[in-house]
Amino acid sequence: MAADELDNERARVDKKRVPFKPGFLTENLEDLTKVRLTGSRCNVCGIALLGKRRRCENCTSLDLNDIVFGSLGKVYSYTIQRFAPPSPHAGPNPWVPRALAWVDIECGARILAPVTTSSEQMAIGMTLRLVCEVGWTDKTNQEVITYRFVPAINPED
Amino acid sequence: MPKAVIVGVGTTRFGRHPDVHFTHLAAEAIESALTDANMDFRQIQQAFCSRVYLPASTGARVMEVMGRTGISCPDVEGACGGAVAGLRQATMMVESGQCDIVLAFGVEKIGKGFMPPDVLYDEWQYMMGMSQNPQYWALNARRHMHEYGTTEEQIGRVAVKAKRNGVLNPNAFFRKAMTLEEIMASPRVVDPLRLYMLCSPVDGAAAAIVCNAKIAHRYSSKAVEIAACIHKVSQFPLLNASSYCASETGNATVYATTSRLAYETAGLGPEDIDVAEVQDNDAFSEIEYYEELGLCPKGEGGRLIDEGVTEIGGQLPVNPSGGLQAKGEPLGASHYGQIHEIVSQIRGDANARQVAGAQVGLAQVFGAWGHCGVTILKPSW
Repeated sequence: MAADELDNERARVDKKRVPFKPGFLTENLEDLTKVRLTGSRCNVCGIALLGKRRRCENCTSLDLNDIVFGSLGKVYSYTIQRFAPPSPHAGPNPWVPRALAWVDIECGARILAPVTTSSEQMAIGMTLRLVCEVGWTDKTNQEVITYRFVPAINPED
Repeated sequence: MPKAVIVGVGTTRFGRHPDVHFTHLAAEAIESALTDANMDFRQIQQAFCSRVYLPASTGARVMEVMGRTGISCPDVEGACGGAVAGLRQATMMVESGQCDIVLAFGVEKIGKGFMPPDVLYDEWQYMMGMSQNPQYWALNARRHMHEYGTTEEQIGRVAVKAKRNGVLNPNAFFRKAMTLEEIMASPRVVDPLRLYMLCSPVDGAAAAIVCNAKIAHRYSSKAVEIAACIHKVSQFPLLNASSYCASETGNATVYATTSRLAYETAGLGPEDIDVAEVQDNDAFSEIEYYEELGLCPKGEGGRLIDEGVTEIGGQLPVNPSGGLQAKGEPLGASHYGQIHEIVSQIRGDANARQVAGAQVGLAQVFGAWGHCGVTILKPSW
């Protein structure tokens, strides 16, 4: 490994990782294959919410449990973003058309998520699998960990 | 309780006004409303200004142009629903007896293309590319097609109607008729929505003068009663506009709860509506609002457009102004643009767009983070 590559590697290792929003991902962000979305379940109305909450967004209850969502979900609805969204964004430049979906994830939350697949393949009801990754590097050189979904080829695995 | 009526309305042309300062744009609409009401600005006892992308204290800055009479004029912000929140404040001030004459106006200046994302979205949402407003309408459209069999052609026909009506509206931004084939050949932006099914954010201002019905005869022989003016922010879940988590609860949508309360307040029902202006940010949303406002049963919005029910000559004309698809959307002024149209329709002043026999009119708006408003107007004479 060349010296500059070593430096880059050291910088990568030293780089602090942060979730896209505090309370929305499991805490250990080193092994991205193990990172999951987190949230709250209300013990009064039973609703599952993305992100750790103090009060239930549905019924205002303070009686909530922290939950970790599973990695599978099903498409409730979808669209294809043909044009680049407003800047700034961390997507490719030039923009590549991409699917965006309401995904019903395990434990009953419906969340908005980018989906990486061909537009022809997208369908309501299709099963998806969570991928967590470095979305961008922020102003303080921290790696921001984000989420997207991909088709789950073998959802039973 | 005093009744609140509208004695004057005014609007600028909606579109591009790059060389006009926003205070002057607002003043143009206010002057036009004052002229309509045969009223001097010094008679205004209170004002409310709605805007989204303009700077803090836009309303107070407009006083610099209109003349500092010393009245209160705060900004009332509520995304695309800001104007209905302002109109509601004006209505309540008159109904409570606090004031007899209140000016309610909105103004916006905004560039071309998608709107700047940081005003209405969190950083992570726009960094992940999830701040493209039409994405939500597209997601709702796709689900509606799946559940009810609504077709892309039906959505296209709403756009054809909007464009056709817009030709008749001198204040509209987009004034060119288009065929269904032209609409369906325009580029997909967010499937299933295409370019000519979407509205454009534009510059513009509009105003309404709300008055105690007891003294309205001094200003207008055709004062229009505000039978209801309701504003709400959505319960959970919000499957639209800036939302990122929308787990199912069985709660009614904000469109349904807002319109129900408006009907109840007015003592009227959807069957009494003669003409409506709804938030057609895109052609699909108009179909959704036919259903959500109770103008037809759930799932039958597509049938209404197929059967011509919502055309100017139909049984229940919707968006005779051309709607946002033709007028464009100056966010803070948008609902006042709708009010201008409904007041004109009820007075019989809508010229080529006139809906025969229009007596009761409804205007509905919806905005980011769940703002929804419904105003119902009827003649007071």
